[in-house]
Amino acid sequence: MITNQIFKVLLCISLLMYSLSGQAQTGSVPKTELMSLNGDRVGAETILNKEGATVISFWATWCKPCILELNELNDLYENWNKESNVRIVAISIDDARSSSKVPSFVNSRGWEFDIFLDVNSDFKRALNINNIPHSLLVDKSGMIVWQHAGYVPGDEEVLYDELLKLQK
Amino acid sequence: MKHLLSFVLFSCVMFLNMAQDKGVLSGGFQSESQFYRSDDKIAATSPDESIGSNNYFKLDYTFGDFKFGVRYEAYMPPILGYPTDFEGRGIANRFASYQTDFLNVTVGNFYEQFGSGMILRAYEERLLGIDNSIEGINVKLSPVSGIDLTMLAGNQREYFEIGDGTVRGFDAGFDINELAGSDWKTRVRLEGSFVSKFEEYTGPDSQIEEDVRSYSGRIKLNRSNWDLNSEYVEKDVDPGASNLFNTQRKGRAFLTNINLYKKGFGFSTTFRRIENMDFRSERNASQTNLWINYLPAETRQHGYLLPNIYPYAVQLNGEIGGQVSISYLVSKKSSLGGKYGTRLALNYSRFNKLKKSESASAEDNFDSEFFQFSDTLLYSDFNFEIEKKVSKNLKFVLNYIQMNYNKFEIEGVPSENVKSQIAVVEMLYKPGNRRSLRTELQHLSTKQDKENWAGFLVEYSMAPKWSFHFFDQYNYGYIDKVHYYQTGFSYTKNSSRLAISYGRQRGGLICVGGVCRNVPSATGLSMSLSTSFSQ
Repeated sequence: MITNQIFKVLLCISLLMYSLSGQAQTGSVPKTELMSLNGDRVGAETILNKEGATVISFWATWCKPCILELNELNDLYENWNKESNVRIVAISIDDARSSSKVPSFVNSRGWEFDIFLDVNSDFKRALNINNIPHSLLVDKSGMIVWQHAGYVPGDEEVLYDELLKLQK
Repeated sequence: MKHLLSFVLFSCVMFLNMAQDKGVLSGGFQSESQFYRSDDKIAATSPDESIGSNNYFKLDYTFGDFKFGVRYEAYMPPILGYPTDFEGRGIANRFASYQTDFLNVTVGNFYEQFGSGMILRAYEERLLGIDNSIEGINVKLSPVSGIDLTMLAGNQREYFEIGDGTVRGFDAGFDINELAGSDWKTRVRLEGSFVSKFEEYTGPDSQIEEDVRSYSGRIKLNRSNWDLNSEYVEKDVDPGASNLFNTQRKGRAFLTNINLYKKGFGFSTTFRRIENMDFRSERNASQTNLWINYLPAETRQHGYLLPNIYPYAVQLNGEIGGQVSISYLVSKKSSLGGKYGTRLALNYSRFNKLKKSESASAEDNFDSEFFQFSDTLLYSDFNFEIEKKVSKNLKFVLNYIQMNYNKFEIEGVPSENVKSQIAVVEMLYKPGNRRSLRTELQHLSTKQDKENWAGFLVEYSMAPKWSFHFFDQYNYGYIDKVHYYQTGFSYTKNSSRLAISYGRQRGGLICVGGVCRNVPSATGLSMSLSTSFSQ
């Protein structure tokens, strides 16, 4: 009981010091294993674009706003890629119920971006993402520079603005 | 001991955080709170405290190849539908890990999945209150390229304690192409797992084993436009509350998926058979506690309100069936495709009870035919979807669903099969300037259970911050003619989101991935706050 209370005090002190420290360091993409659509295990760091920015979008086949977002991004991808050399990576958190259907789902929609599977949500958990859809913008040095929870139509324009900021 | 481990871990986090320029601190917070009031119309009774609040705060610290993490949870008290045993607060998850390309070691709480999860899956699903993380040690090795090994041992989380049974597991995966150094166009991967649980038994029944073992074999084949995955799992005799302490029957599960695809076309089919596969690390575990394995429903997970009135819940003691999905994107140049293309999708799933073997005796380990369906239908779902973008600013989705739901078998309540037909029309209109209007019109017609329902949803959003919604599910065909309405808004700023709503929650099964929990009817105010951060 006493150790529990000591722990809570330490938690508060740590959070306070953390919030006051104001460190400018940006988070990077954590080390986690993903699966490619052909079953290869790949490190999360290998999905990043070394030549430019990477957009990481978390989705699932049952998530309607996620599909809405990825349809929009797919329509914009070709132009964005030409303008800013951005790479879009979609991370499916479909579990065993629907993960096997992801390759046919993606092909039937004609999505052009890279798809990886996070079947036990390890990558999602490592990034402390609570719900999907959730998008992250990673610069070419691998630092997460922007995040957005949820999706409503028009959010892709905000993402585009953030992409332009990275190019300046 | 647990507090000591938390103390040491958090001291490390705090110490390293002080070292200004080293490592990355990241975390997240989520709070789900509900304020209840009694509502005679839907038989909703406010609990004594009139409030439920689930809260999660997580901190991770990454320092080179090391990572430390803790998660504090507070249920004050848990929201309605969660087991009341969650009530309390404390450190629910703590871990330390070391990861290189060759080795990954985690001590403390960890999540893991072997294969499709039919033999082992430790995971978290907050919506249902499931967290069967294993507290112990997990070691992953890649001794050579093409071989992956995992070893684990520990006890599973049960609320703020751990279960009595010890889980041990070993998993091996072999990439045959890599090991053979071949350039075959077809990729071949073979995998196998062993999982055991040990729980002490001091009772009088000599047929109850303390050690229960299970085995899994898997094959994965894929080429550029098709793949095949198949898995077979067998489990020793495992007397427990879920199978009424049966001391004769073993468990087995078989799953095969085949997918064919090319750009604009996808075909997917699944066959699965389950027999006595409720596998938990304690004999007397109930509800959603201490599951070692994961067997989701192999049916379509619908995203609309009314089709989720009758969700399929997987029958772990026995079911056989499958699912077929076909999707086709009609080309933009064709007359049906129009300027933006049209997507057509068809899905059918069906599950029956297992057919009893006429030749099986009471001593046999299995008493059903492997590939035969019984006459008892558990669930079927035929659905068809058309998705059409009419212009840059206007899009429609049409859905037709035909369901047959065996309420007696799935919910265990006296009822005839519920045969329903559901139609959904969804429209998305974007007037511009980052504004959007989304509407859904839905109708469910059935002559059984609570008869007909009508549904309506309207959502107006102003990207990237604001969204407002109102929906109503109106059970107009039944005696009471009840409206299950809800209205609310959400505000999003970067990775933080606040959502507040007021309305009625329909009682019944809430399912995620085919795993379900029964929730009571409730009326009141709901508040959800979540954020994640990284520095």
